[in-house]
Amino acid sequence: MSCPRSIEIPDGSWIDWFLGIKGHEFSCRVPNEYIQDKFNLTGLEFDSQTLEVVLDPEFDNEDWDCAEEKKLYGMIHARYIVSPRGIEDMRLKYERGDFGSCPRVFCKRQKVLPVGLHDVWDKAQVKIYCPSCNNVYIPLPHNGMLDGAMFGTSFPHMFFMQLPSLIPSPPVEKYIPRIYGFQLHKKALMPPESAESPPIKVESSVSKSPSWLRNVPNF
Amino acid sequence: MSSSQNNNSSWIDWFLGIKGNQFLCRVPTDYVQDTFNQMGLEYFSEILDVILKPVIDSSSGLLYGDEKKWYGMIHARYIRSERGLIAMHRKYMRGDFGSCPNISCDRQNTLPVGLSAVWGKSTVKIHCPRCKSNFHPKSDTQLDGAMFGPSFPDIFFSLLPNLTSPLDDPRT
Repeated sequence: MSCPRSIEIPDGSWIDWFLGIKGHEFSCRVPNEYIQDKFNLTGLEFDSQTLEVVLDPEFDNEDWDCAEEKKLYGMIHARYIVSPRGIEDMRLKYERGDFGSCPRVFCKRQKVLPVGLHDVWDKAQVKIYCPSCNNVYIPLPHNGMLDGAMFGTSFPHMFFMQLPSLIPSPPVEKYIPRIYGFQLHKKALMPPESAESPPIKVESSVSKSPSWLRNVPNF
Repeated sequence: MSSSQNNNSSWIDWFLGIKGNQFLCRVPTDYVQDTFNQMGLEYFSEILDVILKPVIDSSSGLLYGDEKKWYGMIHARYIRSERGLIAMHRKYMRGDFGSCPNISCDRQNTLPVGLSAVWGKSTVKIHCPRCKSNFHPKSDTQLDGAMFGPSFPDIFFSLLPNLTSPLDDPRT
C-alpha cells in the first residue's frame, strides 16, 4: 500500500498526514510523548526506522509503503485511547458525533463508539458499538476503512466504565410487525420448518392458496 | 422540480432514474390507469396526465409538484399486488435495498419499510427480517416512507415465507 502522493501537506508531520486522510476521521491524535515513552511500546515489534517516520515532524510524503507505520501507530493508538487522556480525547470526539450514530431507528440517532472485533492487526475493519441497544454495526463505508485493532475489543466498555454518566438508557420502543395495523401471530414470524424445500401444497379446498400465488416462482 | 431533457423519456423513466430513487420499482402504466387502484387518492387529472405522458420534455411545461406524491401512493399499493411483490422480490434478491448493518446478521438483505402510511411523516427505512429491526438506510435516499408503507415487509414474508431467514438471535 503506497501513500497517496496527491495529498500535499506542507511542513506537516507524518501524524498530521495520517490523521488528514479521508476516511480516518475515527482516529485520535496520540501525543508524541506518549509514543516516545518506551513503556507504551512494550511488546510491539517494529523497526526503529518505522518509529522515526511516525515521529517525523516534517514528513515530505515520499511515495513509499506506509503499512508498517500505520500498523505501529494503530497499535499505539489502541493503547492510548484506553488511557485517561485518550478516553478524554475520545469523549470529545464522541460528543461531537465524530463516530456517527446508530443505524437502528429506535435508538433515535444515539451516538456510537468505534470497536474492533479483534485485538490483532489485519483481522477485520473497525465497527461501531451502540451503547443504547448494545449491538455492533458496520459503519458507513467511508468510515470503515481503518483496522479494528486500532481501537480494540475493550475500548467502548472501558470508556463507559470511566464515564458511566454517559451511558444512555435502553430504547423503550420495539418494532411490532403489523399488516394493515393488525399484529402478526408469532408463528407467522417463524421460518418454514424445512427451509430448503418449498411448502407442500395440500390439495384441500380449505387450505387452497390464492390462485395468483400459484403463479409466484418456486423458490 | 426541474425535468430531465432526456429524449423519448417518460415521467416515470425520469423519476426512477433520479439518484436516490433506487428503492422504487416501476409501476406499469396499466396499473396506474386502472381507476380501482386510484380509489381514495386525491388528484388532478393534470397530474395523472403528466405521469402517464410517454415522452416528457420542456414543452410539457410546469409540473404540478404532486406527481411524486401521487406516484408514491400508487407505488405503495402496487408493491402489495401480485406483480408488485414479484418485482420487489427480484430487487430484494439483487440486494437493491441494502443489507442489515448489524454484524450478527451477516449482511442479510433488507426490505424498505415506512414508519407511517401517511405522506410527509418520515423517510423510508429498511427492515431486516433476521433481527426484525428497522434501520436508517446507508444510501442517501429521501423517499417518503409512505411510498412503501409500514406493512410491506410483513406482507412480503407472509406471502413468500420461504424467504424468511432462520432465526439467529443476534444477542446470543
